[in-house]
Amino acid sequence: MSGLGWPGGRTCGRMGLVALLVLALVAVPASAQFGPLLDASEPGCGKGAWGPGAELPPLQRRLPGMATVEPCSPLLLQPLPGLAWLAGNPAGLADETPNRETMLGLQYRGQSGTYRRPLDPGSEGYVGVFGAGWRPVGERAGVAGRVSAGTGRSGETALATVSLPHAANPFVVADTTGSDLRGTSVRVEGSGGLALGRWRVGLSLGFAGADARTIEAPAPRLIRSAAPAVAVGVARLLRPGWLVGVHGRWLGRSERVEIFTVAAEDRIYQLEGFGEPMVFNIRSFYSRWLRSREFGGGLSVAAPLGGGRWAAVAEVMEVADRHWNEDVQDSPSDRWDATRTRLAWAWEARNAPRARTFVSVEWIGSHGRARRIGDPEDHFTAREWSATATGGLSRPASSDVRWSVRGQVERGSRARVDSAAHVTDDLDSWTMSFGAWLQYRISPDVEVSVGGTSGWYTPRGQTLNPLTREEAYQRFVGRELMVYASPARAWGVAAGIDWRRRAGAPLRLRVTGSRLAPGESTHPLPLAPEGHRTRWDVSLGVVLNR
Amino acid sequence: MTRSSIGHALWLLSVLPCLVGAFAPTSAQERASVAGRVTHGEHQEPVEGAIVEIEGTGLSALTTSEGRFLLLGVPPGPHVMRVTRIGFATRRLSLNMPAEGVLEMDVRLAPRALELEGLVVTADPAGRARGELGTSSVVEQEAIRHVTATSLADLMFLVPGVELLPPDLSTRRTLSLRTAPTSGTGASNASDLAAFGTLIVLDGVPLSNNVNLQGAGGGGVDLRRIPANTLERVEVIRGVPSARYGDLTQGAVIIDTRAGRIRPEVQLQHDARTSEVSVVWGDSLGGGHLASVTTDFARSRSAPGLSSDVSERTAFQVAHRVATGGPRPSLVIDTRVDGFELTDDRPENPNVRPGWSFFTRERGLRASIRARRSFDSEATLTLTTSLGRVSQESRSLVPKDRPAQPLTTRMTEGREIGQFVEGHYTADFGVRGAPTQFYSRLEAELPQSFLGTSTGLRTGMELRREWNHAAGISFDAAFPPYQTFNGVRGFARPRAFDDPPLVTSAFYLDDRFSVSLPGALGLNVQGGIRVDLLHRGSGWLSGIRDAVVQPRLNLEFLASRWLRLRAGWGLTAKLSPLRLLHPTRQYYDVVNVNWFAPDPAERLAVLTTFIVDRENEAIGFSRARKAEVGVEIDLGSLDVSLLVFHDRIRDAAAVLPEAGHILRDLFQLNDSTLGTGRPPEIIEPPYAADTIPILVERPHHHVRQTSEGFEFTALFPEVPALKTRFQIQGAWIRTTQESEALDFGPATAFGDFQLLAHQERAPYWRGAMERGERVLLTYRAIHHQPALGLIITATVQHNVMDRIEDIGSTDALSFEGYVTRAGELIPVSMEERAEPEYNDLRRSRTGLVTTPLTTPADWLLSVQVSKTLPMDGRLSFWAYNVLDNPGKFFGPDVRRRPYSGMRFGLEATVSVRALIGATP
Repeated sequence: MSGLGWPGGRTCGRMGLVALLVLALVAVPASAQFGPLLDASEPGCGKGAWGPGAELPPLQRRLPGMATVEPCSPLLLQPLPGLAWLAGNPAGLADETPNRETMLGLQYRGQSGTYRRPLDPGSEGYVGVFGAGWRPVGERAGVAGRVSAGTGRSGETALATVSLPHAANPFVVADTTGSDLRGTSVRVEGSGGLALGRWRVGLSLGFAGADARTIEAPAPRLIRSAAPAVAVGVARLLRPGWLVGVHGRWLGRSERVEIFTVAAEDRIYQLEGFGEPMVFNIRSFYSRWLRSREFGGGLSVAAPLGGGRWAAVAEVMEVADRHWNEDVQDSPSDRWDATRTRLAWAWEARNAPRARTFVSVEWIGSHGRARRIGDPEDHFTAREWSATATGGLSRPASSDVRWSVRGQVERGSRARVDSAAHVTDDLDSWTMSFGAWLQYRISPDVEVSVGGTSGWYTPRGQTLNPLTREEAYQRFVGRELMVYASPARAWGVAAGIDWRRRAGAPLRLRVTGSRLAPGESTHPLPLAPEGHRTRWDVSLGVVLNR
Repeated sequence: MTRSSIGHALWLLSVLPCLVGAFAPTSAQERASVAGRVTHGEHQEPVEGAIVEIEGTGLSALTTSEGRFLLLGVPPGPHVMRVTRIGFATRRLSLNMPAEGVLEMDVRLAPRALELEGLVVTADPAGRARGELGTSSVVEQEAIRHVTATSLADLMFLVPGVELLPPDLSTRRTLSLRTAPTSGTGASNASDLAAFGTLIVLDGVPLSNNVNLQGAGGGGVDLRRIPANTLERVEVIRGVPSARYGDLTQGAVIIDTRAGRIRPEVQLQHDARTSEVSVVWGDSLGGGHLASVTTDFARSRSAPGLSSDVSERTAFQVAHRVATGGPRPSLVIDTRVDGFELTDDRPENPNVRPGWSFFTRERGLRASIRARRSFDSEATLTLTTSLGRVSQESRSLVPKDRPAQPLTTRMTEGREIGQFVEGHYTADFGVRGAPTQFYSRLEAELPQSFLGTSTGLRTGMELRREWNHAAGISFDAAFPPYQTFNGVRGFARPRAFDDPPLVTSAFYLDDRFSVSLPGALGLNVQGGIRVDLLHRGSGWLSGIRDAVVQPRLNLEFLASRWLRLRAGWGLTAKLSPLRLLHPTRQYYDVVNVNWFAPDPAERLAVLTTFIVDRENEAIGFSRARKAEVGVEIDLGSLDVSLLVFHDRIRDAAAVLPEAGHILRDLFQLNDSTLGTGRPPEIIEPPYAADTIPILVERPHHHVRQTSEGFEFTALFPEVPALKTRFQIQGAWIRTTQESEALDFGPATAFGDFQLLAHQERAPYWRGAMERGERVLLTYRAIHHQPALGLIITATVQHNVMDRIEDIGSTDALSFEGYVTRAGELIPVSMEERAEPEYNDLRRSRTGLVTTPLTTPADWLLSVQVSKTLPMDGRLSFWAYNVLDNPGKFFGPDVRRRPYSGMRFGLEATVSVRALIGATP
């Protein structure tokens, strides 16, 4: 094998900015920042992972990094860490929804640029509505729910034929017609927890769906996905403030891809790990059905500490993906099985007016195995993990000014072995990010905020030199590997207005912009990404039911 | 209907009240009453001025300042009590009235419907259509709002035995209650379906598809034209309807649209294919006048990403009501004007089918007025009159490639020199129709006491006139939409729609009475008779072409407070559509000379046109007999209903191929030399003649359909800990269609017989039976959190079994005889069919699905989540086939049930007054 290597060791200082989905109480997760086009999730600060449909990283292989810059709104009183908000155990809601909040709004997301992986579209735009809320119900129950829906469009040679082209599963299909896609998506999740004496029980239900179609394409492509999810939990109150619980989660996902070659012959590239992509010339119709089942559970605990509250979770999920080509009665042609583990701890305190301190650490690991139909044994294995530490402070500087800082460090490791292609990819990475912002009350009713963030992503390790492989490999696999193998730099700015109207519900406006670009490299790599990628997020929300 | 059965029915109608009344000479005041108190749902304060009424009885009361009400003389049996008050969500409660005593009912009203306890968001399994005892499912407005529906068709899954489909406008949707689908290959075809039908009554006036001459036009009314968001109430009478309703064989759907005082709101719905917006607004104008406006616009794309096909619907209604005579008005006049436009646009997709396009548009406008006069004796007289017109327009462009063929465009019988047409052309086919309907009904209702028994006598008269005068079918006869060298069933010609009108009148007498029997038993009886007349001419005083007498009887016996036994029997009739009553003439073009010289100038085509009149004076009503027995158990919050039914439609009208022949003259040519530069001439007289066998499609009453099965519904009480109710409904339905129609095999085979003069005969087969069988279960779990204003509904549609089968011999000896070139039918006995002289006839019959095709059991899950929003709003998320089950597919003898893929969308309702900041 011909490989490329990088020095390690003293590279910690060049760590890049993190883009992981981390904890409940940090800002917008990076997976949402550069997630798929049709990921209908609500914008805002916090609660990224509480729902039953929350997908554990590293399910998605993400772009190297992008700053998360959005400050939390003072209009929303975020819950403290707990069984529900950190572990996704709905039983905790009976104790963890002390206040009633509802937010409805509109959002826009758009990104474009030449810095991208082969299966990323050149540009994306998304417009949607969102709503989220939580509240106590009586003295013994609490509920939380969220809904978001929108429509989006991706353009400039979106080659991927599946809605999650960068999943950990190595089986991905691409086609070369590169037509623009337009689609709609929705995510609905609801959770409820009930106290029965010292016991707590809870149930969460969720659904995410997407429907995307090409626009005026010679080879029309339809992608439809449905992902229902359910979580159940039980917890016990050990003593006031102390909760320990167990929960189980099930996530289903069904995705159907149909390609009609009505006016032009199309060429399908089926990516299978690090081997040369398999090529299909299709003349009339191609379909692929992807079905995924995830099942697992976890143990969690939450307790008061230092004027705040901490929570911890250990969760294991088993993943079974099956892919079918053409008719569904055939045996699945591709299989992917993985085990994912998550360990997390978070603490947050609000021990002074308008002051907030939080710390969290998280470790996520994944070990997956892939097999094609007819393979006597697994031909592809992937072992990945990441460890993230996040901390932040928010303090008032005066009666009208509040400052916030946040830092995050992530250590990542990814080892992938394709025994059929005799290729190994072993990459480690460091990412580091810092952010700071100011919130200034310009009148009793209006508060404005501005902020900035910056970070670095630095990889090390070895991977295959893509120039030693065929053209299709270089086009679809090699370029993606070089994105992960190249250092990157990200920075961003954010601004917001929070307006407490005297008559009517409070309004929140947020605008964030961020940019991702190659970092400085001492070892220029072939097929390394060039240019940059820019993203804009705008959201306007109204806070109700205070 | 025989004379003796009519007599029996009338005798029963008149005597039965006397017989049952003799058991219990009670007065109305001694019968059961309902008393209670109406309070605010949140702070328990009394609600004054709420209207409490028992639907279908005319009983109503206003609550006092303490919120109390009392309704006297409520008939025993199931009822719906409705409580309305401005500023509150309307509340409906199911009652099971005992034969005597006082039923206490306290009612809490909530400002928003989803915050009501005990909200019913499904069809009422023990509901009764107003004034009806026949089995029915009643869907109230709150249930309609909770179902994601673009049109009336999308609500029908609430009825046992009807499949759940995603909301959509892109395909025509009709309804046939209590019918399992059959193969549609043997005994029936699209036109047969026109003889079967479920009556659709919109705001008291029936909709009709009887004079639709556009295309096949089969089936019933296209339900897409009726938006669901503007509906107030839907009653689906699956059993035996009262004599009030005619022109049906498969039940009736009675629809009330929203009118009167309506909280103004905008409703938006969107998913990947369909978008819809509705606006409703109704208010008092003062002086006893109420006015309302409802509008709706919906758009569906059938395959976004694949094609630009789009279907759109615009609908509106303006309603006005004026009442005079004080709090209990003596005269109420309702006026409604409604209209719709429904378009299906399939533009050319150059990538897929270059040159093909299709467009159809229907625009309808209808005005109706209903005047109801009440008298002191509680008698009422109601006059309903309606005039509606639908403008239909369709156009299709279809590319054609054909070899040189002789063609004539002659519109009259006779011989002429034709032309040769060949090559590529685009057939431009258009249809313009204008079905127009006048409908009027005068009805008297006369509640009275008779030997201690209160009865509700109802009698009425209907006049109906429907016609379709329009430009009709247009195309260039030289470039027809279809053309083959032979004409088994003749050729099409452009024609205007100028057929005689369809004129009917009807009279009916219906009585419903309730009696109390000893031991708290009760009996409800509804009997009636209806006479429908089909007139021969264009007016109601013209002669009678067909008449049908339809007695009906429904019984309900209250065996205890919780048990009801029910039975129904009746005859119904459905009018044959205009295209069967007055079928178009059939054209046959016979080629006498086909001289196709290399030089076009030397070619000669001589053709003779024959025209066959297909009228059949015997065509009239299709008769049906409906029978059902059932039991209903009402244990407070547990409702169980089980019914067994047997419906039979006999002698339904459909076209039947008849063998015939036409005579062809054969001519010699005066000069067959090539290179003359001019065509030859024929030499008169013909030197010979032969016969050409043809098939004439003449309407006959020859199709029979039998549907039998059972339906059940069980609505279980709410599980308090889960705040969840469960409902199971299901149906087993087996439908058999039989026909004695002759089968002459595929058109191509008979076409060869026409062309090949040496072929002296062709086989024919007789009759076929189609059978379809279906077991469909629907489970619904309805989780309700009134405090959150949240309802979550999960619906599992369980297709237990689907089976189709055609019954008929297909082996080589199954032919019944042969048809000669003179169109003569010669039967061949079974013993003779194996003889060598019939070798040419022994061929397998094709087209029948004789191997039963069964679809494996499968299920799909759909969910809906509705949540109240501030400012009187509501947000709903729905997902059809949420797990994206594609349907199973197993083997060659197994039919695939391809489920529609997962669909999801959002629906939002916003109060207009809240938006503009006005006080609700």
